[in-house]
Amino acid sequence: MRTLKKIAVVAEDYALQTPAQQLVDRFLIGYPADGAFHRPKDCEITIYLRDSADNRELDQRSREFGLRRASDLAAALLDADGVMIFGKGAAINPDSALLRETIQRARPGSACFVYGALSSTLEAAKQLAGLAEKQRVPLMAGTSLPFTWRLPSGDLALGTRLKEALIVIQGLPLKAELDGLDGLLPLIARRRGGESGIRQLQSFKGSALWRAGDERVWSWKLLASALSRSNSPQGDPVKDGRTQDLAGLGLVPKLARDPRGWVLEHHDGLKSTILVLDGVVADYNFALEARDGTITSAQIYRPPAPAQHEFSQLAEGIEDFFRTAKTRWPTEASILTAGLLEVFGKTSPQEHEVAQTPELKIAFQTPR
Amino acid sequence: MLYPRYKFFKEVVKVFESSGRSVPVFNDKHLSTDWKESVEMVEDSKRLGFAFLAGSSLPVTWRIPSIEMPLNTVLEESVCACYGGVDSYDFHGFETAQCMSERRAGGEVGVRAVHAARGEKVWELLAAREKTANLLLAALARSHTLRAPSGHTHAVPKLEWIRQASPNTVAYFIGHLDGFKTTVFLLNGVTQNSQRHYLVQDFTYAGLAKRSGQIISCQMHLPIAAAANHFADFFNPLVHHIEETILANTVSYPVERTLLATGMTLFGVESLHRGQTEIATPELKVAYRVPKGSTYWRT
Repeated sequence: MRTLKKIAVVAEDYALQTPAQQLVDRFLIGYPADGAFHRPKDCEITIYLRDSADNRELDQRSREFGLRRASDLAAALLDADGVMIFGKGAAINPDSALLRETIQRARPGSACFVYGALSSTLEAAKQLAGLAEKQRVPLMAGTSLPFTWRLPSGDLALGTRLKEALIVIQGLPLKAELDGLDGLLPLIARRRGGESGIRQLQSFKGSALWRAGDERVWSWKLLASALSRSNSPQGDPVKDGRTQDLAGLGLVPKLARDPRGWVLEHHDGLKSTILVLDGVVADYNFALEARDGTITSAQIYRPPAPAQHEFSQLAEGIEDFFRTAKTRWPTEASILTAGLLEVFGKTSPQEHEVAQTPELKIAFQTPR
Repeated sequence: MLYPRYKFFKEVVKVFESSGRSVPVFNDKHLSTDWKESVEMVEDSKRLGFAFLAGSSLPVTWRIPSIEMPLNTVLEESVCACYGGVDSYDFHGFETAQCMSERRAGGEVGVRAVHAARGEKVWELLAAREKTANLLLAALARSHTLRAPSGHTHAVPKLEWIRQASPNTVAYFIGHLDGFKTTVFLLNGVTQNSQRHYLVQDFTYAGLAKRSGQIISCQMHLPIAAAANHFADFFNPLVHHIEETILANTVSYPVERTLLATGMTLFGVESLHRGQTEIATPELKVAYRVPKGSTYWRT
């Protein structure tokens, strides 16, 4: 466990309500951890903002909290113990060239956290991971979803024999899919044998998605279980506050706007489904079915804006990573996510089309 | 508005008496707006032998983190930080604190005095109560809605900021008969251009263990969908307990919790009315014990 003397931030931009702002502010101002506010003591925070020299919010933070501004990347990274790097706006990953340069220039032994995906292509992710290993820079990529609270609280018991998994999310293409992967992969990697990689996948949209459910390509039962954890059912409950069994009453297809789904078949036989269902619920929920038939389900809780305290949970995880240089999951998990995002980006959802993914035979074990 | 809960309850009791048959009863939130009537309601339930469940959803909803006060903890003080109106949400604050405090070593013994204050008086009283102030900050460290200063999205709980952002805070300082203390803060923020800017919009708790000095804290989570402010899933756990009460004709937590919280509310309002002075409350010698089992929502 090392003392943090300097954290470098590399950002393409910085604006209120962005991940960069939420996380940088936590290290500058402090964040709630284990029932008290915490801030790394005597730790300098230096930011290099690539796209704009002028930034009112950063000026305010320099005045109030001593945030340092670096005019170039090298100055920001000099002697840093940890590095956080952020993409621009709604981008799912930072610019690869900027990330590559950051890893190249980072001090060996300093830990690098990438907000979002490591990359949106498999090859680029592999190259970045290889570069980080060569430079002896521990690398961790992700969002707040693996770190935030679950309602109810709990995790999949390590070594569970898992049969099927499903997550319900919302949002724009690839951003939603990244959230789906970040919400689901850390959970299912705890199954017996760990992650085995993806053998093939199918994609569906619109009415084909519901037919696939009827034909048992994915599980309505798990969807109903996941939705039972939602605290934000749409439709009638929004109008009058009633409770409503959206799945049981057959309302999901009626409420969903431009639904799309991905069914992944893992090499060990596990089937996992990502359903992007705008208009059905407004929170993220998952359900996991073990081979003995036991179903585990929960909401992945995202506290309200503007504070979005899931970023406090993530900040705690990042600080732990910076202090220990130990990642919460192996780099292979980030490579698998990047590979899947590449396939998702290239695949136009077609009914029953199966995409073979031999390149995604990426296996890893999750730390206990 | 004075809710006619006592009147409704007595109509129910009349039917029970005339028919010779009683069934379980649930009373939403506090009992009556009059202390003697509140006591009478509890006595009626015991006289006629029906299960009487009452109170708020706060004690039974999800907690973040998911923790329970260990039974028989030697506890010194409980604080709840919340928001809302006098004689309405303050009751929820009392039940939030009480569902934890009642698990302390010795159980609940009743309340000796109630002192409510508003605005400047709150800060004067708090200046002499360092432990209470620390517990307030600890409770707010569990809040997900603590309003941040301009240009920021989250805030560090500090007394200067609380005082500035919620100058007309209402606080209830409760002294129990065993020396234990309960303090509830209604942190309603400020009104600017006819718009209310709450300091918090959630219910958080912090309790101080006497021997270790450990602070036990959590948020009593109220899922309120942003798109539908009337959709309130925190009623699910409460409805579950109501259903269990009806099925088993027995309650999973005693109505005395709600009776005592009712008393804290009534005498708190009275204290404000009497110029923010402390009121001795010999009436509130309500002693009770709770079962070992926990009743908040984990599923």
